[in-house]
Amino acid sequence: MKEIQITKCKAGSVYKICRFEIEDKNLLSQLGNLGIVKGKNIEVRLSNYGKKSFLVSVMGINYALDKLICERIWVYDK
Amino acid sequence: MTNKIILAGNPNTGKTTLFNTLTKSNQKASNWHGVTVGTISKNYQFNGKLITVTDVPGMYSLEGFSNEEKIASEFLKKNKDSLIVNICDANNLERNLILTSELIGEGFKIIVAVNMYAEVKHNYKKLAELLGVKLVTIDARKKGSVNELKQCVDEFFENKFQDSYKICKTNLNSSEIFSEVKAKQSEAYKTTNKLDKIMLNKFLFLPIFLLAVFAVFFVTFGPIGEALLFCVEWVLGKFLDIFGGLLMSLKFSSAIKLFLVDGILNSVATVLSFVPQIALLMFFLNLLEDTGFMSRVAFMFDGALKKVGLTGKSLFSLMLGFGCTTSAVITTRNLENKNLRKRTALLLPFMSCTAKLPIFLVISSLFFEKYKFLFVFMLYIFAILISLVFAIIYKKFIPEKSDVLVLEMPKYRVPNVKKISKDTLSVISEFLIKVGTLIMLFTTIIWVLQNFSCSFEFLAGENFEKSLLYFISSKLLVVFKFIGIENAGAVAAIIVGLVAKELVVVGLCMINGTAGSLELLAESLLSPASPCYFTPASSVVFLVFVLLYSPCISALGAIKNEFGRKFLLYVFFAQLALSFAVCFLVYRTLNAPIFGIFVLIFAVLAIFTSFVLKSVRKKNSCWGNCNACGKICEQKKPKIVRGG
Repeated sequence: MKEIQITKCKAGSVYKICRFEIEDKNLLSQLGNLGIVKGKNIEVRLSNYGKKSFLVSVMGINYALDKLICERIWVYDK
Repeated sequence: MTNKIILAGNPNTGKTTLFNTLTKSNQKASNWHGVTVGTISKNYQFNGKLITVTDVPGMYSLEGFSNEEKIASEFLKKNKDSLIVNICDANNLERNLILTSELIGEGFKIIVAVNMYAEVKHNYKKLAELLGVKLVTIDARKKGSVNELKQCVDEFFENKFQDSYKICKTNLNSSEIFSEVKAKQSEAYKTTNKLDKIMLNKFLFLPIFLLAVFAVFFVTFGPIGEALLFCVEWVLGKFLDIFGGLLMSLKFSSAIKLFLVDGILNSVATVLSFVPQIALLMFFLNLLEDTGFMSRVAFMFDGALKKVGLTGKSLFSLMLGFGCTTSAVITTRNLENKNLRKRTALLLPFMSCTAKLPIFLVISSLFFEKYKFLFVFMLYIFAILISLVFAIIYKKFIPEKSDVLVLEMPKYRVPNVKKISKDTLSVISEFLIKVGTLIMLFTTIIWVLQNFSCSFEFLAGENFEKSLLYFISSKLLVVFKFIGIENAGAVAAIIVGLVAKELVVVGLCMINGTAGSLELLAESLLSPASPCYFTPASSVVFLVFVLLYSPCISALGAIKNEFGRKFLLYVFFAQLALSFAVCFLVYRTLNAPIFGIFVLIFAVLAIFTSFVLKSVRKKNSCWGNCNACGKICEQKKPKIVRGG
């Protein structure tokens, strides 16, 4: 199945997280602690001005993530 | 043996609210991540037992990432024998239970307390069975709702169910109950998601935000705030008249009356007149915070703040700076990156704290009575603009390590007026304690300096030119003349403001001998015969100086504790130098507008040149391996390690 970055997702649709391209282990574990892990469903709700930050939903909880992180989370495209 | 319990859980689950309810305290609790940055303990009694409760910062995991998570995790590991009350939010139960399972797995003795249980109806009985630990449902805001938890804690210390603790690794995802939890959870966020579509709309957010801020300022400084100020001033005036009369009838000497009533009490009363406006400002800021609006503001401004070297998370500390710089400095702990913490702390003195409000209102009423509200609003905007310029400068000088934004967005809630009123009362009581202690002490010192000459002769409030205060401030007057402040009285008020900003108004009252009446103070500040007086230009310069100069001693103390002595000295002298430089420009511009136009053109040219240079540099930079320029490029594309 084709993989795309979170930034390329269609807002309002649910995607499954397939992999991370994050070199910072602290950040990776921080995302893990929040439940943003491989296999979880993620939904992009909104992006703010100039698509710099994204409002995503994982396990029913909303998070603000910036572009830098969103570009490094890959999901399965539908 | 002391009975100890620790309140632990994810951020923003209601730990501090529960702590306040259990121990009848009034610790700052809010709905954004990082409000509690250290541990705090207090006792409560139940069934004749004294129980010590410790509130620790929020944590997502025992292997925490942020500073406050590390503090919490270390505290738990050091106190492994204590009972842990693991607070979970019913709205986010699935994620909250990750920490719960970690705590059970590590062998901690825990009671799970599900907060806000009424908002989402999970099958709690089944959940307790699955986890194998005691589970109680609570509403941390209500006293009656935590009785079951108190009973449960009591039973634990009675050894009624200690033996039933077993180390069990629960498989959260595979259980039947968690599919139920998931379904209920998504329902809980339905209204929030609908509201977010409006509040976080690209075109609607900014007008909504500006409208909210403008409304807060209008209520605080407009007719409502003014009416309340008038009432308090009248009551205090009456009280002081009665007290002065009483002293005279008891035949106290006039020197004692001069010291107690005309000197100390009247000056302190002038500061107290502003309590209603401070209360209004804090009430409405707390109201905005309690709805969950502030997290949205952080999210929407993140992109813009990144451009000046900050992140959306810095915004929480900066917003707190409008209340008190000292507490704002401490909350910078929730920022993971050390340089980002420094950059945020450096901008805090620009956020005008509530202690500066009385000064703004007194001075602006002299020449801008009709537009006072707008003038004060403009002062706040001016400070924010200057802080943005300095944020860009600090971004260049303090090496930037790219910081990412990961922020949990809380649910929108109907503000809890009781909690907001309590928080506002806490700010006011802190203000009153400060007035009753530090301000009173320094008012006495100012009175002594003003009423005694260099040869310790008693001046009885006359001949300010002979006083010790005049002697000290006149030595510094030479420097202040460059920025248009030409009388020693104003310099003296600025000096005493270094201790606490509330003292500036006290100083002005005492120097001009008009304590107790804002009207008399305003009249005296306009009269060139007074020891301290202002012209329209010097009043603007004075306000800008007070707005920008070094923060008070308690804020400087907090900066020293958080960042060390070197950083403290830098903040102190940098703010002083900056306030002089900005005031010099403002004063020259007010006297000769052509100078201001010249400075403005120069600034625009400088910004334009830097923009052009930046874009040229960007064009020339490459990721390497492209052969476009025919050179061997040393810069290589950052290596990405695959994980997850």
